[in-house]
Amino acid sequence: MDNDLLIDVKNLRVSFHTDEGFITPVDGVNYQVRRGKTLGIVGESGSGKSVSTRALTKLLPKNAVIEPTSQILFYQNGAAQPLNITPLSPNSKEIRAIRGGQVGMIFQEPMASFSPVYTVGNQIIEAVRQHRHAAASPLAATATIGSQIDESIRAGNKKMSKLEARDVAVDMLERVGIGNAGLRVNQYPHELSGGMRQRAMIAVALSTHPSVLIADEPTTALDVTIQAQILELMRELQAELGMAIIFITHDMGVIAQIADEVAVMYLGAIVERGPTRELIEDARHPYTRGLLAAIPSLDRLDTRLSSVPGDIPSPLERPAGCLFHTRCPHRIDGTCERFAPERTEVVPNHFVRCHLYR
Amino acid sequence: METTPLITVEDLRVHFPIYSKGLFRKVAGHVKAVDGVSFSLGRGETLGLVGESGSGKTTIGRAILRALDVTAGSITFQANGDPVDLLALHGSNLKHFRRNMQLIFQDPYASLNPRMTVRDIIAEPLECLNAGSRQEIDEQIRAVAATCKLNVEHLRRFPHAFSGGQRQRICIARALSTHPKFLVCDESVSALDVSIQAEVINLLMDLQQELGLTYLFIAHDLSVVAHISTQVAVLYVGRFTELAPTKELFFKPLHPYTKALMSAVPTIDLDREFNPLKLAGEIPNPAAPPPGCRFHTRCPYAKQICIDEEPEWKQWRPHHYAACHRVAEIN
Repeated sequence: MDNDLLIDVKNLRVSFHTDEGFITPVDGVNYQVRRGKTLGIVGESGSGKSVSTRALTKLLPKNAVIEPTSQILFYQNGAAQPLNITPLSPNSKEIRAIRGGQVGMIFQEPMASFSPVYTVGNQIIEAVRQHRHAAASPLAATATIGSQIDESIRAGNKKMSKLEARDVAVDMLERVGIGNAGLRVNQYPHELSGGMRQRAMIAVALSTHPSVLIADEPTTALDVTIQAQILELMRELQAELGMAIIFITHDMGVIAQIADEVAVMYLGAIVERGPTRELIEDARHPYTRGLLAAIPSLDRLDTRLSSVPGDIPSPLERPAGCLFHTRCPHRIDGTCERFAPERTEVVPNHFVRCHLYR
Repeated sequence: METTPLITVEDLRVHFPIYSKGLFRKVAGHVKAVDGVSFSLGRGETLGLVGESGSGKTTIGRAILRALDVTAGSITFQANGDPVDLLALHGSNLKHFRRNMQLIFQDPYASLNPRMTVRDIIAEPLECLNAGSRQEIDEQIRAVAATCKLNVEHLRRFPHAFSGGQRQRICIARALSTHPKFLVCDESVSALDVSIQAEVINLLMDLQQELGLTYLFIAHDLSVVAHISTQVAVLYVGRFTELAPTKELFFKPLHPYTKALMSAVPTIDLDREFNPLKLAGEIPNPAAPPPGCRFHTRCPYAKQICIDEEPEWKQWRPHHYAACHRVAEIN
């Protein structure tokens, strides 16, 4: 079997009970996460890109239901069988070891992810001590990557002392390029600038040495020069630590530069998935093509922008048949509005859900 | 640029006082959000304003609209033949002059009152100006809604019934209801999804053609700015570092900061190497800008002269201005 496989998501379906009714923002999503690789998920607002990844750590609101037929399989070194976390409770020991331990997370607005009343160092120390303890379980021990703190993790079930954890925090802050880390570790999040805060957030996420890092629009709120710094930092850390990254964004340019494989989501389903270059240069799905054509480019300054006609339907009115048929310029009448397209592999590893490619 | 300019801004300065703590709240210093900016903008043209957050983009837009108190400088508006000194207008004169200038905000979810119908939202600027009877106003609203591709039945609904793109069209219709000559678009397409952003950009460009509008287009997305602007200014800590016609600026940038910005934009063209110029550190605090060239703290080409002297704002090529000591050496 594929040794680099870390997470295999099969037929993921997440629904919400809301006042307006039962909505399904994620329906039938499949993807794999591999060691050392970056999976990019692009989609517009409401496409379900965040919900589908938050399901991996069960960080969903109380009214959310992950359908029992969905499978979220975590592969661990040594374990004979992958662990399917779908039936597990969000508060279970296994999930708590995964969340923040095996799977690290960074979000768009670092100010909202940090607690304003604790120092940055405090928040890293908390994560390190929490997961050092959890690391004694067979699950999380395999999640870590070779490093100096690994040995101490494996050594016993005892919590790391606060002083030791503080050293880890300083080391982590230095690693993400924060100068004067010994001072910064005692500062509060509001004392850091936006770019610095996002670096600190990455330090928190990586301090437990996760094997998978979920980055949910980590650079959207940042200026382009800072964005470039953060993207480079993530690439460097990935090369160094060999973790997998799930990178969620709505910016095709960012995806093109960081991802190895791209999944394009529309209304809760992956409409196209393939290796980055293949997908961008030879996009098959009309939605992907529309998205790529809608991006203003310096090479086409004098041509009118092409837009995808119409609006994204509300989640309460998911179209029948192909989800994109209401906006599709290549709609086949009588087919697209009636039958949902099956997933087709057009070339190896390049999948598309569209009736044009049956 | 050869035509008479619609707006001429000279040495615009907007400083915000910082008050000390304590009983008397003395002025302890100033945040120099905009510190000496000059440009002129011809009828039917678009000036794109780019720069990192905190560089003063929004402040320039608001200052021209007289939504902020200007510290120094002059703003001249050529509305109907005669030049008007905007900073000399007060009270009802200013109120009536404001019909010539409107603002479109970033977030179409936050800038529409959820308790007003679309009709009332578009009518509000006209009603503020007592622009006629209800019937006359209704007629004008229908006309402006049609130019912004809104249906008549949309007018009776409330904003929540609309998607992001439609909401931004409502915001544009509201801005156009007073028949302005000049629009400030402050990150007006930044919050929209890509597929919808293209549609709104196209609408703005069509309206400009049809109605001869002049835009000040503020955005942090360089490719969007490149697409819509006739000339682009790059702002850094309250000052212009470079100003040039769009293609000049994007394909032959002179200032190292402009070059760094351009190189940091990730593109989908995978054959083009993505190798952002590294800028050390972050944007300086505008309350205490660095001496000399404000960019010297991050500039890879900085020399002693950059710390000692402020660079001169100079025309290097036709219509292409930049403020940098080392333009000649590094290009």
